Amino acid sequence: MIYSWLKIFTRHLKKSPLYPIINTLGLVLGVTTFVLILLFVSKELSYEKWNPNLDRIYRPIRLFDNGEVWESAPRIMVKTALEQLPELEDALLMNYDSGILFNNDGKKVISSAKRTTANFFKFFPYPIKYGDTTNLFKDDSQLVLSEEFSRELFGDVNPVGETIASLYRNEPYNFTIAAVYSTDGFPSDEKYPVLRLMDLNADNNDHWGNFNYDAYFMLHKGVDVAAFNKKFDEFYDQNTYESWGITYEQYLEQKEEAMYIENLSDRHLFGKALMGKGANTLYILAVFALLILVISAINFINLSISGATKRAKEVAIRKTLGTSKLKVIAQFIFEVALQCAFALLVSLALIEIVLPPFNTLMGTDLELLSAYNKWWWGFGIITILILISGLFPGIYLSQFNPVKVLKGNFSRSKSGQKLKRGMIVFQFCISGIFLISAFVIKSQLHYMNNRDLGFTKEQMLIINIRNAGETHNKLATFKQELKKIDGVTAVATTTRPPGTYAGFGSNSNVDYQELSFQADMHFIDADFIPTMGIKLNKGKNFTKDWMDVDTSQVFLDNDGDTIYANEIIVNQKLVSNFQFKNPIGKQVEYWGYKGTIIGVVDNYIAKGFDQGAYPALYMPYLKGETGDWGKPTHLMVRLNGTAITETVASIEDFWTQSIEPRFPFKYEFLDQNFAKTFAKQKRLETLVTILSFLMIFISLLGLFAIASHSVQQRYKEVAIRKTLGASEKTLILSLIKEFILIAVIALCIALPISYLLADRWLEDFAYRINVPLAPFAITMALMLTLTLAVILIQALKALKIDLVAHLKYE
Amino acid sequence: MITIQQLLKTYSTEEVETTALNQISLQVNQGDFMAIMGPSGCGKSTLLNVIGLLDSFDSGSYQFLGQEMHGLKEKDRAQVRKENIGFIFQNFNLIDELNVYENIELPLVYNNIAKKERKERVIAVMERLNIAHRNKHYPQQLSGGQQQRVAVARALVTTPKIILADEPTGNLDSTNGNEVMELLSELNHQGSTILMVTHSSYDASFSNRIVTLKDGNILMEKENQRQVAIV
Repeated sequence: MIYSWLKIFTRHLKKSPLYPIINTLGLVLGVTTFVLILLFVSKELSYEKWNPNLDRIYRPIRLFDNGEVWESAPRIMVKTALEQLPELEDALLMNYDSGILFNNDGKKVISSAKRTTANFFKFFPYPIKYGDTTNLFKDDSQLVLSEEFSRELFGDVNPVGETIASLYRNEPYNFTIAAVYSTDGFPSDEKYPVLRLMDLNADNNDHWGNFNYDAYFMLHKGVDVAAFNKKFDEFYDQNTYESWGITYEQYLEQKEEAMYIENLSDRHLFGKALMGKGANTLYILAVFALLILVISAINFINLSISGATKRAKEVAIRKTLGTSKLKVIAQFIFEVALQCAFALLVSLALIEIVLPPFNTLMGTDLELLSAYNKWWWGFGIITILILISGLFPGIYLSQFNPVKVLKGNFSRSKSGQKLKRGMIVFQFCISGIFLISAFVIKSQLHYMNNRDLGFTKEQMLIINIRNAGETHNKLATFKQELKKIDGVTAVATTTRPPGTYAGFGSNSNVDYQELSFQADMHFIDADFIPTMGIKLNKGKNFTKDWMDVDTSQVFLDNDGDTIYANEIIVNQKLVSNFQFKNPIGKQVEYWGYKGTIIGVVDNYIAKGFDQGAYPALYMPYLKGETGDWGKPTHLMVRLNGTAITETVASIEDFWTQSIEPRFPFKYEFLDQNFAKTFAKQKRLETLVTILSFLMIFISLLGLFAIASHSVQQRYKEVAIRKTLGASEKTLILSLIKEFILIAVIALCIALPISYLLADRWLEDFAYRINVPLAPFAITMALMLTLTLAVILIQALKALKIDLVAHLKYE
Repeated sequence: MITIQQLLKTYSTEEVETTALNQISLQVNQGDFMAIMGPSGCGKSTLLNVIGLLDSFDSGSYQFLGQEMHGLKEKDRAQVRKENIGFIFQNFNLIDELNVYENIELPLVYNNIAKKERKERVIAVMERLNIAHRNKHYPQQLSGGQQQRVAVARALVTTPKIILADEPTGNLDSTNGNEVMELLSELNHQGSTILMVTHSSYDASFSNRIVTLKDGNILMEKENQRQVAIV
């Protein structure tokens, strides 16, 4: 039986290979895309899932009434909580050392080190590749390296026991490598190149307001998390109100925030800090993946049915000879399964080929076979697809009366055509939505690339100052020297170049009388505002790079604490928040300073387009403070755009010879750095563009086959009309109008849906375009033209048919 | 009306070349009712298709209303066809998606006849053939005889110079078949020229000339006096 089926299948394939090839090609593309996206989605959803204690590991965070979230905690709070709250089994504390220079026999690599309490591997039990787990974190001269970083620094050898010369904050250290841990195949946001025991005696770590530590709690089994959250918040309040010098009742009255614990599994996509948007891209992609599979499936079913109708006679003869309905269905499922199996094999090969570029595009390291992914779900779905695709034509054909079929009345049957057309409308509709979406994303990206940001991002070099604590002493000199280099037009420094989120002095409350707002804090020199091309709306720029703490005027604040006088510049948003009519001369308080506003700059887009204008405060660097605090961390060099390579080489020579000789020189261009703020959208745009063209291609493949089948079914009608004198124009029109109508209906459905989706997507941007109309027009024109082209090919073929043959026979 | 001389038509496949019409000469006059007979494969349908300009031929001459058809472009052949020739087929060849009225109207649409005139002519021909009450029906809703009447109406509606009928009763039972033949006969009496291919000597008996073909040659041509009127 199966042999007979196989024989018939291969002979049909040999006789008319076009449909099966189109069918398989569509399926291959659909399955490949589906599996690729599924790999990505699986990986994203699998973050932390490997952790055996996942359900007990929580992160303390601080939720503000205004929606702000701090994902960090004070060390003293974590320590005290562990002592006082019996629900906690253990607590992990971490902070970091930024920019340690490791030097392995001349090979220099800079990396930050995560400082951690000794129980890191209890919370994150990564396998240890080299070294002994029982002997880790004995003291802070030992390091644990990730396998990747170990390979970068030492190559493929076991470095345990090795000593490595290092430089941190200009101090030499000799670290010993205690272990190497593996992170491959363990998706987590908590993996670091270097782990080092935390210094528990550091200054300022017993302050309840010092939210500079990452922390995790491990709860005992069976703890009621909701009840614990309430208790935890009360615990924090009870321990902090006294430091404010107010009663507990007053504290509660003023309270605008709460402590909260968030499960580790929420961290990657569903954390409170992500404002419910963390998984948006993932949802979009998952829907896309499913849609592309559905479109391929529709093609497959449509084409299978079309192909099957040509087999009506064969089925009728089989039925006449006594075969059962079930066997007819089984035969078609068998054929479809053969095609699907072939398509799957080709897909697997194709996935292997396109996975590396896909990884580059998405910034991932996906693998087809790994523990985290659930691509076999995909194969489950595909198996169901095979059954449906085989069942459809099988049932369809098995229903027909063999006598009718043998008499030749079958191919004129119109049954199932509405369904097929409905499915084409659906395919076209989805393709239209995709194409419009791709164009809208493109338009928004174009806008983001070209909008006036409020500063000039072009031809600006950013160089990281590696040794801020030392290098700042040479600030005036190096600015002077750099300006002398050919091609350099201006030089400035800052702690916070646009496009860089973090940096020294990130955020602080700024107070004026009863009002208090959070503001982004920037240390800058006097050249920063003019060099960046930032508009000064009111007042004046700084005249000096430094504010000297030792010689500054001193005040006592309301609590009797010492505060220093300082001159500051603020942005327009801060002015409007405080509703200053005449901001110049106003004095606001922040950290330990009373800042007099001497200038107001325009709001500029520093953090990307999804965040609106945010209050900002600019102040000169701090002389007299110890360490890196308040020192320039980024050098900004404006180039004139000619001979850039030579200019950068000269800057590098100067910098590595005269300013920071022990550190590797790394630079970046500001426009590229800023572009990182919308890298996610850029990625989405590329992906959606590829997907939309893929969908259109698959849909057109389907249309081509359906149209060809449908036009073939009308050959007789064409012959009759031609005999009766229809002109070629009339005939072509009568053949194409149905499909043009299908495309128009699909577009009519797709346009409003796309409009709503585009508008919804753009809502996430603080700086956005209105939904553009061009994508709608382009999509309509493109889809109608492509449809017309595909159908015309078929229609022109129909005009050349042999009249006599088609008039005589069905 | 039609003068055919030395007409040659061959079909070629990969392996063999078949001569469908072998140097045939034939004259059809205005008002003729000619039946073309012969065994299967003798070339009678081919001859009809060539005369109907549905098919081309290799050599010889075919003059229709004094104009040479050999070498005519498809566009010109279509023009001659739609202005002068009505077709009736064994399998009716009605368009399933159009109702009776629309099927009959179709050749008038292609001849650019104004809507009002189309309506008058369609109604007239439907009444003449007694199918006016079926005007909204679709082909699938009609009996074979009724479908063939519609096909005849469609052939007549343009008042063609000649009607070509290819086994018009082949798909009909004897009652319906007889009805169609009587209709054709009546049309002929009213002045229509009819060329009919048939297997049936009974149908041929309605004609006034019978041409018999064999292997692509005219075997016999004879005048016919109708002898059978009622079965």
